[in-house]
Amino acid sequence: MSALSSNVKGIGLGLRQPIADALLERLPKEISWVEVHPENYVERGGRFPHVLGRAREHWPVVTHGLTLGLGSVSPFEREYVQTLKKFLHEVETPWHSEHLCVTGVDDVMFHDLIPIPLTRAAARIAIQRLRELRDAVEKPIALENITFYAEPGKSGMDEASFVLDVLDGADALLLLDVNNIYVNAKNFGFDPRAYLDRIPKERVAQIHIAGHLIQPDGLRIDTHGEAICEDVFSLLEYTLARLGEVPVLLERDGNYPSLDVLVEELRRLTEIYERATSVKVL
Amino acid sequence: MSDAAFDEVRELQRAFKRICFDASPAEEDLRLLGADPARWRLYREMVRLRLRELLQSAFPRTRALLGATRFTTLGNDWLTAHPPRTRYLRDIAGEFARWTSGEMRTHENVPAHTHDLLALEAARWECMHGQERVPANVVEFEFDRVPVVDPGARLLTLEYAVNDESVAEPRRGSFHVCVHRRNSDYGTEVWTLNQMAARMLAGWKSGDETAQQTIARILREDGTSADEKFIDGLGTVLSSMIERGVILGSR
Repeated sequence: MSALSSNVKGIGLGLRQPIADALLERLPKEISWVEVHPENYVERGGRFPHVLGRAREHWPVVTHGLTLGLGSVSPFEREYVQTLKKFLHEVETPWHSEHLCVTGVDDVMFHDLIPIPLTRAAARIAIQRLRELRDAVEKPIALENITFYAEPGKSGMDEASFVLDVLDGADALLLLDVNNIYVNAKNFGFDPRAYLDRIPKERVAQIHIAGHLIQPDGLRIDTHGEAICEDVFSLLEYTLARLGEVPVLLERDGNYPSLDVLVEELRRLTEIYERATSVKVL
Repeated sequence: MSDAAFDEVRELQRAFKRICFDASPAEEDLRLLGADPARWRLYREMVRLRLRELLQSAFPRTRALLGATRFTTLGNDWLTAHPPRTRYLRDIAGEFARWTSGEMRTHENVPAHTHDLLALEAARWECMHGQERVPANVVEFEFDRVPVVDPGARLLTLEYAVNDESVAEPRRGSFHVCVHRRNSDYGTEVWTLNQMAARMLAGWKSGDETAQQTIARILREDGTSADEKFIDGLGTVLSSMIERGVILGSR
């Protein structure tokens, strides 16, 4: 698949406004590419497009959507899909990703990632939607596995089977979020490595990695606002050793540390990447 | 897929929507979603918290004026009456302001200048994030051409001088401001205008008059003529409009 032979390699970082100026000033060598949310840039003026323009001078850009949840029953807003298509082609993303979840229903948007039932019916909705989006934007589409804290409705299958069902049915790529698998494994009591072992190598376009929060009751919440924990670093190494050279994106969306701390985390990811894949990226 | 299977998934999604945005989650919806109801309440809180935080960022002065509790209640009322329709998080502020400005007219004991403050903060927010839509064929400013006003600039007429942040109790009267985005750092600026400047900008923003025609019309309406003092003042204000990027040129 063309997505897998793009110039997006090694370790990337989510381009977020609170850290953008510092990144663009320092241009850390540990960053090989950046990821952006199209919703933050399309039909917008001022600082955001300015920062994106500067970032594109230095790094390849990959897009990651927040509002076209692949599990929603509501039809796509055609005007937005056309706007998105234009943006994806302008920034030359090799693929575009959306979440395997619901982000809105009818005309209401949640501005959050809401779980869908792990059933055949929900999978078929996602398959159809993913194909429709791919045809409309004319880019490969990767679906991202999400974290969830409750499963709506009656369960039909385990999460890994559900994700694989959608991937196969839509012939899609996967944005494999290793932290999300870990969080779900802890919250619902399954073996994350067994889940990862079932993921077909050829489907994986990209990996996400992030930190999460542990609540006082033990529930783990996917915040993207904490440092990556040791278990997740280990799981990433396990994943990369199995999948090989898949680009890894550090998501940091809040509670930003100093750039030095962030770069140190990126350096650690680079070490893991190089050790697991035997590919030098620095 | 059967219609029944599709309907079942849709009903779960609609139940979730009600759990998030209704005044309080219905037991029936919690039962329909299954699992631990506390987890669905957690989702409700996460969805609402993100939106509340956005409103706090966009309307810090309105929140301070009304107090945190009352502002949160307004936010909750808005979520119940008009949950977010936009996919752009940045546009949430505008949706809230439009609903709230109407809703607050029915509230008692709201400080009189709250409406103006809400409108000013909404204008600043929207101006900061709005898309540049620079018209084509803009040339250097000329008096006998139609001035091109930055489409992102917003003109407000305020009943209270909430543009003056230095006073707790703003004066009542008629105040004109232009909210625009600076090109240097993409921040917004609230520029206080006199009545003449406000009328000129309003004319140029919406009409097809040349600069000369607008000025002549305003003088005619006011039954005055352009004396030396007026011409000096006009030069200063036009230079300022051009320097600030409020006037982009002429067409």
